[in-house]
Amino acid sequence: MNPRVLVVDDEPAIATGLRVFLEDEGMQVDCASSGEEAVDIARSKSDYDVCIMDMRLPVMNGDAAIRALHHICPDLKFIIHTGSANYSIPDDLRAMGIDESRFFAKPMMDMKPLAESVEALASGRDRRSEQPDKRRG
Amino acid sequence: MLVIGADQRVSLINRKGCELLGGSESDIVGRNWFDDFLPADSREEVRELFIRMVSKQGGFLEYYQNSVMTLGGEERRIAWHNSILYDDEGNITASLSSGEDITERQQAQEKLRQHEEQLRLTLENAPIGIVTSDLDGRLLSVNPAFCNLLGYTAEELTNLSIADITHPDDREETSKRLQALVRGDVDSYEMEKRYIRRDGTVIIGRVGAGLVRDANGMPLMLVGEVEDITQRERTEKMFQRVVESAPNAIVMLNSEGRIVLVNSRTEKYFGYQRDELLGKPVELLIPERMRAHHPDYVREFQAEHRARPMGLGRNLFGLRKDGSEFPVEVGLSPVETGQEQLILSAIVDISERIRIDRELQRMRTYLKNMIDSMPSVLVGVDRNGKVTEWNQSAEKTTRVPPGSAIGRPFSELFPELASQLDNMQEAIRTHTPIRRERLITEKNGEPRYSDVMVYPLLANGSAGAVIRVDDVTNRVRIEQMMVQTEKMMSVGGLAAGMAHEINNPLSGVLQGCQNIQRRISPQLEANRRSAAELGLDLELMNRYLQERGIVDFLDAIRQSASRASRIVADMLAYSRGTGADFQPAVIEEMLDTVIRLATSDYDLKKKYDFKQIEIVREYDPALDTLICDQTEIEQVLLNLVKNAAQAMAEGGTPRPHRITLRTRRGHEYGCIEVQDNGPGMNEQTQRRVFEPFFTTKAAGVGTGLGLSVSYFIVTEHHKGTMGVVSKPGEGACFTICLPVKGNLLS
Repeated sequence: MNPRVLVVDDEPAIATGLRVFLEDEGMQVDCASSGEEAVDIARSKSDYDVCIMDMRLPVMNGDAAIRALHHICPDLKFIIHTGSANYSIPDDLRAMGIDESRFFAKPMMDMKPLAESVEALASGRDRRSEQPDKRRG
Repeated sequence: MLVIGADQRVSLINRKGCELLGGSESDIVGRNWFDDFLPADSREEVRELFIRMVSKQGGFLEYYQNSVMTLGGEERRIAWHNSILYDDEGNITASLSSGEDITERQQAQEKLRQHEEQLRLTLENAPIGIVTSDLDGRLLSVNPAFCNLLGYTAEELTNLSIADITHPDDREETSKRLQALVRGDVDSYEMEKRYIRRDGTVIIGRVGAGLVRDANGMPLMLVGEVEDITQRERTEKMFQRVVESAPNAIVMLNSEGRIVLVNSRTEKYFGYQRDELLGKPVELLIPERMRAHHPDYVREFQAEHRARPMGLGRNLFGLRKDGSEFPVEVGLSPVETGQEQLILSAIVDISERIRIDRELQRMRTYLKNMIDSMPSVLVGVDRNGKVTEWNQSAEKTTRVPPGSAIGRPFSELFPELASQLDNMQEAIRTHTPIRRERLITEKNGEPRYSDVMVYPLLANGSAGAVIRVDDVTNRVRIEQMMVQTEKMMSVGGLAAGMAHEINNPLSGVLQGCQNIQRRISPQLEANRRSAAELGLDLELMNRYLQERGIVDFLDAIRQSASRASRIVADMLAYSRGTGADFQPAVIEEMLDTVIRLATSDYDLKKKYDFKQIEIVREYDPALDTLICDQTEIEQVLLNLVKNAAQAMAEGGTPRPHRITLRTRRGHEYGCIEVQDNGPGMNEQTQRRVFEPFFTTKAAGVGTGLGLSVSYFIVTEHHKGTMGVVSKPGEGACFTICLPVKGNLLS
């Protein structure tokens, strides 16, 4: 079963870039350009395995969107993908299992690790023991 | 008896006459009296008188004195008693003279007269007053000296009595003395008394008085001599007052070394009463242990016989009555009194002086110490710019010891500075301070910065100046670096705000590139499928892309975007807060992570095979963890390791390339060292290596921020220290030290 992925990013180039790479990895990918749109999509189609969430979004920001999505699809796994300098993971998000291993800073030199992380989360394997390169640069 | 005829010839002479003239009658009779028996000087005068006497003109002289010459040529004085002889007709025929030899009597009288004259002169000229009075004290005679003494004329005085000229307070005593003299109780007396002069002023006289008795031994009159001793009295009083009020103890010794005079200061110094000292040997005032030498000192002094300080260099002490001692300086002067030689010693208590000397000495040492301990170069110069003071820093800086610096011109010792202080001389002359900042000099080919102050000295009239030179090179460098750091922090703040806006487009670029690279690759099934549908030979297209450099372009785009992203990331480090994520981190794990990351580093991998480097680990078992922001410190360590690898890649580094990772536990700091055996660096590079944008790497290899960001992370975020030790050709060793308690202190 190929992972189903929801990419949320208001920057079409980034959303498309991720979608293309993950599709080439054989995943099913949908894109949303805002938190509200993501919630709408999730309401109508609630079988996503993984959501890649940009944090700085207009109106509803990434944290709020994750909370809303988690409410709708409790099994949905999240990966944070942000270009913000000083983002730190709020405690309630940590309680959902979101930690530094699921944090990817923009820009990524290579999308392969992200793809591997998505694969692992979708297949239920927790790859926390094998940390991805989360360094900037 | 002598008869002289009118013809002037001797006609008769008796025996007595012959004896007087020293001849027989026959020798004398018949000779011209005047020609042969009178001295030439009075001959004609006497002949004249005789002629007149024997003429009838009546020039008779009954008594007459004149000198005669004896036959032996001797002159005798004769007193004549004359009578005239007549003939029967009554004519004068001769003179009859009886003569008496009065030569001896006259001589005696002359002597008496001379004696009286002398006495008179003596009285007239005597320097002391001489006076006689009757027994009731009425003045009889006074000499000029006495007149001068009292300002009266002799006439005025002879109308006064002794009481009239005596000071009222001394009249009773004077009268008593006089009565005693008159009664015969004493032969004479001496006293000092006051007289009142005519103008009312008082003088002091020393009187010696005696009684004059008549032939029968009855008191006749009083005689006295009076000496004016007013001046002497005054001098004596003044001397006493001077001695008493002298600030020093004054002790006068006689030739036996006994005390004959002391003043009140002596009593105060030594704690004795005057009576306890007078007549005692001076050794009483000298500590036991010094007594043995004292007589030698005194003898030595007497032999030299001139004033000199005795305490000089001898550490003399005075002994008080209570047995305590005090340091003294003694000045000795010989005093001649006419009878014996006295020694006047002036004794100064120098306790205070010694205390002040010590205090001064202590102060001098203290000041010297202060001046020497000052990190500034301090040079004192005189009005001509010649060195008068030279502190240790001056010596250290110039390597010229004070001995050879003093007296030389400042401009010779600090030529580079002096040439920039052209108006120094003028400033010293006009007392205007000069301040020059950051004068640049050169040392070993590197610029050094100095702040120079010249401030003129005005103290005790000696014109000159103090020149202070501070080497502010390090401060200037730090300031320059701080300016940079501040710049970077503001850049950091800006970067934080912009990071999102920059990172998003960079994401688009990087992801786009990666997707393009993937989608032109023949390996991907979807690509092949799509190409087949369009009838495109994927292999051929790839060869084309390769041929035209398009593959490389894509790679270059990725690299450029990647570098831009790293710059943003580095700049973000400047804006990051402190201590946000401080947790104990296991050092060994951190280092292992860093080595793994370095091995797989995208940039490094292309130019250098990290696996060829021999990694040596020297871990201090006492240091397991450090409290830090693990991500940041890993970034720092990665930076150091990459830096080492890049340095060694430059070539000339002996194989095997080696990085030594070392940990060390200090008292308050835990340290991690990263040492390589690369080419190392010179001093100048070492100093600038932490400056932002300083890089020795080829353009494009580094951002120039790596080490400065690391330095910032370690020193600002972690309150630690970061340093480097290196020499050209001997590799480099970077050390970071973090507080073992974390930066909780901050």
